[in-house]
Amino acid sequence: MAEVQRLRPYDDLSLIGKYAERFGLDPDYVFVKTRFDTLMAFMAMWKEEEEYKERYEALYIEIMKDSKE
Amino acid sequence: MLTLSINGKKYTCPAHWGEVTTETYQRIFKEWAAEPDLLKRDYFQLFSILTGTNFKKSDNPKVEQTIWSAIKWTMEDEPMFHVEPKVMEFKGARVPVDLGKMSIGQMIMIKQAITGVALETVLAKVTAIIMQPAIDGGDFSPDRVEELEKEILSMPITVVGPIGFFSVRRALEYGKKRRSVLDLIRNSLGRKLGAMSRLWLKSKGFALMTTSP
Repeated sequence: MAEVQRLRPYDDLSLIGKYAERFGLDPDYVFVKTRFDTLMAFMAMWKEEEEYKERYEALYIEIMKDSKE
Repeated sequence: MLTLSINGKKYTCPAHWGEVTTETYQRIFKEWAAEPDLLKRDYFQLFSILTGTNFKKSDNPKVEQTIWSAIKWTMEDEPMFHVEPKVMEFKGARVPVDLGKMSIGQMIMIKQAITGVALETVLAKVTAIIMQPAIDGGDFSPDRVEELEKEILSMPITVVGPIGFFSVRRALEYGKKRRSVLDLIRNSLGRKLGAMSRLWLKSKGFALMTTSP
């Protein structure tokens, strides 16, 4: 963790942490090697997926409520 | 460089921006130009920064006149570092244009360096972060950034300024969607015509009259 210690915790460190965790990479490797474009594209995709999942779950709960009533 | 003798002591003062190091330039913005009121700025302090000494304020009009004549070029000669550099090279390496290829570590370090401070005060650091992989070859190395920053601090601001400002501007604008003026006009017109057509279909007035009763 020599490189990423230079970053402020809870600020931008989460970007690297999330990406490294998903792909099983060393955070230092991501810090030095991963292209900005690549990481941001994945972040955008995961955010969209999470939002879609949230909306889908909310809709599903509403439909289930109505069908029970 | 101007050599001045004040109260028996010799001072060496830069005579134009080409003789000002990046470190001095950064100090000017950090310590002297931080005061927004021009009248409150202390010109003896500016002289101290330019000469790298600890010159104390003097009430002697002759000394004041000497110092003013030594530093007045800073007011008359506006530094033009915000224009795009003509040669996209720095220390023998090409300045990166496609910033998407920079590592996430580089981008984050740039962001952290410029957050909450004036860009002029961190120019050497930001230039070092952007240029380090291009100068050394290979991957981004934060340890080398610190060494490179020290080298850049001793370089003239006329060399560092244009590359630094250009690179940072690109880094700040990177990822923002750019739209042409024509696109903006087209979209705005499209929205207005769409709204008007809906009104027109419902309208029963004189101006936009339909044939139906």
